[in-house]
Amino acid sequence: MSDVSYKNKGSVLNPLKAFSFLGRRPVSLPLDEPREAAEYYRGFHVNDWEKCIGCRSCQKMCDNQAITMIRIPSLPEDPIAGVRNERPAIDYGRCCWCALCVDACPTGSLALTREYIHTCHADELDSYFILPDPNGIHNRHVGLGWAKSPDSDLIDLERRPMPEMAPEERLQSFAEMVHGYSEQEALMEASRCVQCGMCHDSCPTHMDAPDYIRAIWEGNLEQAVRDIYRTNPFSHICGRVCTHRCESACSIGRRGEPVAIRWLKRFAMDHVDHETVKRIAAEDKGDYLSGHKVAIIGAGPAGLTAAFDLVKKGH
Amino acid sequence: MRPENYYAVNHPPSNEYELNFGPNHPGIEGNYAFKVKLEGDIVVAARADAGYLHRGFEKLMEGRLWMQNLAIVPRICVPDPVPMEVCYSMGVEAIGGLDVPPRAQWLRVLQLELSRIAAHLFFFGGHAATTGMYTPMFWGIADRDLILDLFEEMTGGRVYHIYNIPGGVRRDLPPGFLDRLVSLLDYLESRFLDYDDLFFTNRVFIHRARGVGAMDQKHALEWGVTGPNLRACGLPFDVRRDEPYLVYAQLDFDIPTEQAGDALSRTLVRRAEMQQSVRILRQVAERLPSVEGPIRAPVPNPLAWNLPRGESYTRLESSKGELAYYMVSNGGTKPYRVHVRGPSQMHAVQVLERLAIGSRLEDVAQIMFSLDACPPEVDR
Amino acid sequence: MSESKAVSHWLDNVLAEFEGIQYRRKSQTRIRVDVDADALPALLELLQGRAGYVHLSAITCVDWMAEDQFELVYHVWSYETRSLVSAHIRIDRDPGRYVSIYDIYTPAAFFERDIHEMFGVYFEGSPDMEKFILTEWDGPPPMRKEFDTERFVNETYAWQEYHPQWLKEIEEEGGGVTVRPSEGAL
Repeated sequence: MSDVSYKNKGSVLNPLKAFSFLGRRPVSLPLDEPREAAEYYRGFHVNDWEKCIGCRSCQKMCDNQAITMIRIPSLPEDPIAGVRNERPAIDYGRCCWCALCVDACPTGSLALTREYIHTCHADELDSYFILPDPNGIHNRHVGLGWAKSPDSDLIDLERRPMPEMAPEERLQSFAEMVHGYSEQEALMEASRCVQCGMCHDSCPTHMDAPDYIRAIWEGNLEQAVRDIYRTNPFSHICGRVCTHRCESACSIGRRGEPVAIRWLKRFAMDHVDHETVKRIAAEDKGDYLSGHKVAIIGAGPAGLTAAFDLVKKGH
Repeated sequence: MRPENYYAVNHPPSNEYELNFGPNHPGIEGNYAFKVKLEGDIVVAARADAGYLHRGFEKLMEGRLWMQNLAIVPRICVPDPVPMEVCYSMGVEAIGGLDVPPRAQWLRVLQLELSRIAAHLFFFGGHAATTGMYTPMFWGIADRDLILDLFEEMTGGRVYHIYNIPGGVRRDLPPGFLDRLVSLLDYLESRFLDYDDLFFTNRVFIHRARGVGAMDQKHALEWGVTGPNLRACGLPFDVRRDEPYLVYAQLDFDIPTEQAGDALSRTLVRRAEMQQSVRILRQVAERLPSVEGPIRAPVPNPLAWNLPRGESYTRLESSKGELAYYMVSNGGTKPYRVHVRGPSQMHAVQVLERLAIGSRLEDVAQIMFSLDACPPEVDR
Repeated sequence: MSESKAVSHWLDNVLAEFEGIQYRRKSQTRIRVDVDADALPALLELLQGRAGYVHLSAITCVDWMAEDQFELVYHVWSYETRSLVSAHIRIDRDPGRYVSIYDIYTPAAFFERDIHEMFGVYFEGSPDMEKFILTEWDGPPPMRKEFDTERFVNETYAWQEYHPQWLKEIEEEGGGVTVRPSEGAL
């Protein structure tokens, strides 16, 4: 076994050795000044309100349903830039300090500090529900503990690259130089989305982008086409040339490359055949004729979309 | 138990009386009720009654994403949470086909062996308390606290580390950690000699623990005993040797065994195992600086991570015995079924009931502690 | 290790003789066997007696509600060949009865009692089918897929209500709670 002769019975006087500890420093620690926690300690939360955009990813990642989103009217709200005036509030009766919220935060605003002591009486239980701000739970910033780091980051910051035609070939051909995603690449790109909905808010037609990205991820391309056609009948073209306000607002784009929402729309539209697309587009067409006629002046995108919507209503 | 559910049973006049050992009792680990029927002070019948620590983990895990489950998994075994995290991560990696980078494997072994020492210190401290020796108990808890300080530096948490994720670990070591680890190992080895003087070679303890709760090899194998309890019966079976996982195949360590299979042997096996864990940790501290690379395999966004259909049965050697997780995935973002097989499920129920019969009342707590019965694992 | 390969191939040959068996070797140490429910006790006796699989590691029950079946998985480990055989059987959900293998493997008593409590499967011949963990529960077996713990919790218990001062101030400004935790989960 080992080189310690623990198997033999020791002398009866051996336990008296314990008296030698009377002169030693005890392991106990004083209570008046709490000891400083370690570098990555997972204590109470702080949230940098300037960086936080209210994307709700922390709420989705929390496994104990401890986070509530609170709208604070005095904070700036800018749907085009992808900023909401919501901030997370944490219920410490449910939080287990796992720091998954910190790792899932796209902007890196949420962090855990080295502060770990909070006491209250039973009638002060409201102090368990806090709105983390940059100053800390007791307005005393003890120092950051577990904060965003590339080691533990759960957000995928890199976009799947879009294969393009080589320049030499482009010179000789009129074919589209962008090849489009394959099924595998589209699936991987769609899985980067955290379903925050900033793209929906910033899109001029408020397309249901989170829904169709999720449908592409689930492999249900017909549902994706349905979600797309709800607001935009020109998605074959928009999937190629739109100026993607959605991608500018994407929360993943804060620190990394935004989700390729436009390319995903192109993927969904390209991979569903025309007959199916026509069938899906006609799904909520009413089966009655209203008897009214509408004249539309101008056959640009606005006019044609108006015609599309009006025909669905039976005019 | 609620008062309205308790009812007295009418016994015919006899020398027997029923004693409720627990659920709040310093002689048991955790919350566990052990009903013994005594004749004088000899136990004639025993019945285990668990459920005081049931939190429903197996059902809870079905409702959370694969990554979210890591926050609740360490809580299944309170004294030794690390093997739970590692076993779950290894199960997900087996189904998902993830390759854990070498540096992460070494870090996991570091965490596991430190946790093994901490759990043994905790348990033999409790065992000493059952025989009335409170000094080793406080020493054990105090030294374990120093190990928890190291865990706090490494993982950010003292008891529940939430450090392992499928694919690897979450953080690399802070600078200077390995030096602090080696100095703690030196300190612990000197403390082991103190523990020997006060506890392991103590005539009182040896006299009290010898022959108590003895089981022979045949019965041990029949009853499904694993871990240090089995090694105390003379069988050198250890999952780290039988089915090497992580980097145990590259490490040099012995499997200590004893022959008698009683409480004394089990305690001595754990004492020797602590020594072996220190030996493993010294090797890890030496090798780690030369193992470079990432500490995680890349995994997709946890909110959109479908694991392929499949199942895995992952076995691990925790400080108490064979820990195993059976996980079934039906291709979704959440587990379909997770079954936790904790070693105490055998030890704390069937083995304890059988060993307690015929022993004296004062030895029941000793048998429970020497078997390292951990009620949170039984209840999940 | 070559010794274990020799024994394992012997095992492959022997198991192939069972009627209706599906045998799949997943790795050096993991073997999956699917048998009919009637053939399982004989298979386990063979494994224990002849092939050295003396250790019953666990019995797991998986509820396949969509197929109206329970799957019972018996994991047995051999210290000699250092391999694990997982024997899978399916039983119908409706009567949910099966025989106990306590006579073959003693540890089965714990798992069968646990599965009876959590899934409602009755094992005939098991020494103890009384409740163990959920002694004060009289609802349906909770691990079954039709039991929704989240709904049960929301119906039985109340979320903690907090009224901190900062929330009142924000509500006066015109803000307030937008997404509650239960609505925010994906």
